[in-house]
Amino acid sequence: MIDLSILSGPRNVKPSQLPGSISRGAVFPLPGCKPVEFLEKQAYTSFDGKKAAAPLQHLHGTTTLGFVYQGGVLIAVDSRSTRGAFVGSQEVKKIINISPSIVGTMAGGAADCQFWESNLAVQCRLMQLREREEVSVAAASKLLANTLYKYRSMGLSVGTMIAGWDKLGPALFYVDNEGRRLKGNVFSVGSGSTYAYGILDRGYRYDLTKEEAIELGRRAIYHATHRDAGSGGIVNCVTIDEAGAEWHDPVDCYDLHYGSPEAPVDAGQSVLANPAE
Amino acid sequence: MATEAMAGVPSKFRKTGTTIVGVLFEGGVALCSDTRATAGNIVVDKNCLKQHYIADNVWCLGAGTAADTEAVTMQISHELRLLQFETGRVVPVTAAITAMKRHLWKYQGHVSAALICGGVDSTGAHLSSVWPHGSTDSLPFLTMGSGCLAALSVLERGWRRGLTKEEGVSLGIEAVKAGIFNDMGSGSNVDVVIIDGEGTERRRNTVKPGTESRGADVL
Amino acid sequence: MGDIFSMNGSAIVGMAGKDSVAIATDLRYGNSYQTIGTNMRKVFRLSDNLMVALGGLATDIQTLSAKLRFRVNLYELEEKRPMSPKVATRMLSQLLYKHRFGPFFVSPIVAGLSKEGEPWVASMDSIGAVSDVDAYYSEGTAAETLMGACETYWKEDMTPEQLGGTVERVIQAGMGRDAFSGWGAEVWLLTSEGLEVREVKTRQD
Repeated sequence: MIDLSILSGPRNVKPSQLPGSISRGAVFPLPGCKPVEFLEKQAYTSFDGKKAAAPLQHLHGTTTLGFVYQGGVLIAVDSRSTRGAFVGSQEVKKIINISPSIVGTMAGGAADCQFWESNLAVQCRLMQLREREEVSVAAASKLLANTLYKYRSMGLSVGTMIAGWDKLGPALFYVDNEGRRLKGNVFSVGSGSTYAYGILDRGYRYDLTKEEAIELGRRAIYHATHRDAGSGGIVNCVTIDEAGAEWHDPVDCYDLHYGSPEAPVDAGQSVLANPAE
Repeated sequence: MATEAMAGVPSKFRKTGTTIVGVLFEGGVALCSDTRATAGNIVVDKNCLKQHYIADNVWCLGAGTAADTEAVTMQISHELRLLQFETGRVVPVTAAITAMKRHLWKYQGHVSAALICGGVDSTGAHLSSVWPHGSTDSLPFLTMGSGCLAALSVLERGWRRGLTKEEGVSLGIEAVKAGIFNDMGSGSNVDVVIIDGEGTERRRNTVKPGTESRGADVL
Repeated sequence: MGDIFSMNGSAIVGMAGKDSVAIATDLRYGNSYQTIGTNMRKVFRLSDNLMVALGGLATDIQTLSAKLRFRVNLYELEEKRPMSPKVATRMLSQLLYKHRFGPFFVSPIVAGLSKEGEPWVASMDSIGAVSDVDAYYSEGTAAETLMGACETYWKEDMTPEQLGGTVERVIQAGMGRDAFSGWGAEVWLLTSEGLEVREVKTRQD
């Protein structure tokens, strides 16, 4: 039974009263060895002693981007999941809800991103209950960066953008598994990011309208999927402003290429459920 | 020069992850093989032929890299045909074995062919295995390939001096079946070639163990 | 990936029907994850009734196709008759095995019609180990998924129209699960009437 007495007042809670694992972020018992070396030896070696492909489903091929414009902040992502040459899925949801007005993106290890960003959503919710105030994007990204820093050089693979709207307006942060945390106006992460930057840098202006911003985001992702074998599927796009996050129709890259948008794919039909929803 | 230096290349070659068996019986020799060819963990051929013609009275079974077994046996076959023209008589089995071991020794194991060679000549029936580095064994029963352990257990149990032709053949088939069932690299059907004083008889797909119901008698 | 066979990416499939054979190939030319071109032909018509598709390393595909064309032309000039698909298969096998210890990094599929109109499909590895017992073969980075599609779509005695449609579905399905191939495809359908080449509309990501 979880002790809910913390909801009654903001300041009179001792940390010990919080449900242990979630208040500090998840904590794992660590094996008595170097985790990276251990994984190299055990999980990445097949039964006949040869080096095997990673047994985990990785998202190493990916294109994600985000930018701040006059109306708020925009995030656009592809939806392909690959493991080596094999295309595991063409409809992965790579935008994860952190709070009603903050989202995070996925690039790197699928499981690492999903778990730690869901964990971030939990931390943000608890913080909001404690502080009786919406969590700022800066705070959310710092929580994630701190969490990832604790597991630095343990083999996590996370390349994410935390984007949203808070009392100071739109904000966009880049956070990765090295513990890096950068504030900026334009970011792109993943194997297709260089291609996306090419389109983004050509077309980006701060005073973009919302429609222009969506068009630019989709276009940059589409061009990246065309050049990058690791990216593809459908383009998911979300804009965040004062009113909160607004999800736009997902568009298939096939339709973006041949120019005949047919029935848009339902975003809710993703194979990877979003635990924060 | 060594192909091992080229990472990832050797596993891409087609191999006959194999069970091949040779059995000497009274007056002749039976050579039995499975029919599976693999590349890595993929079965690329479910019914390939592992018997290779050397001469009318000498046949060979091949295990290892498919292209190598094919190329070596073909070359030795041509060499022996020339020898036959020169000498004007039936080629001795030992000539084939010597030609094979010299060829394989020359390449110091880089030509990865493991062969079971059997035949009948004026001195009687012969059976030898030829290893990729060029060594040979002459024994009354032999097995090579990845399924050799399973096959050998059957041969050790069943072989005796003075087997009849049909006893020898069915012992060989049982040994290959043990390989097919217990070794992942071997599979599908059993091919047999029988050489005795009468001539050569080939039985393609004589047994299809995967399609037989198995275990019903156990239950 | 690190593997030299999958550096450029390819998907090729060959299939036999009733009195007809077909080859389908993708059109991508890539460098690992980067797509450089989307119009690289991987199938070559070497004679009226003979086609060879080559998957694997692009530079070797081009070198080998030139060597093959030279040899087939010379044979036909010397012999004053077309080269049968069976002979072409054996010739290519010998050509590949000649380079046993420094191979061409290609995976070929040979398809054609014999003088009697019999369909012929064969595949081999990069050092010439031939396999010719099945009615369909696939090679390239998408070989596994293409083979799966072949196993479900193939039927005995397909008409040329059915065969063309089948290899098209096979290449679409097979490429869809392979990151390193795709970006357009073409189907080459060979019957006694002649050769029909058709481009296939595919995803471009």
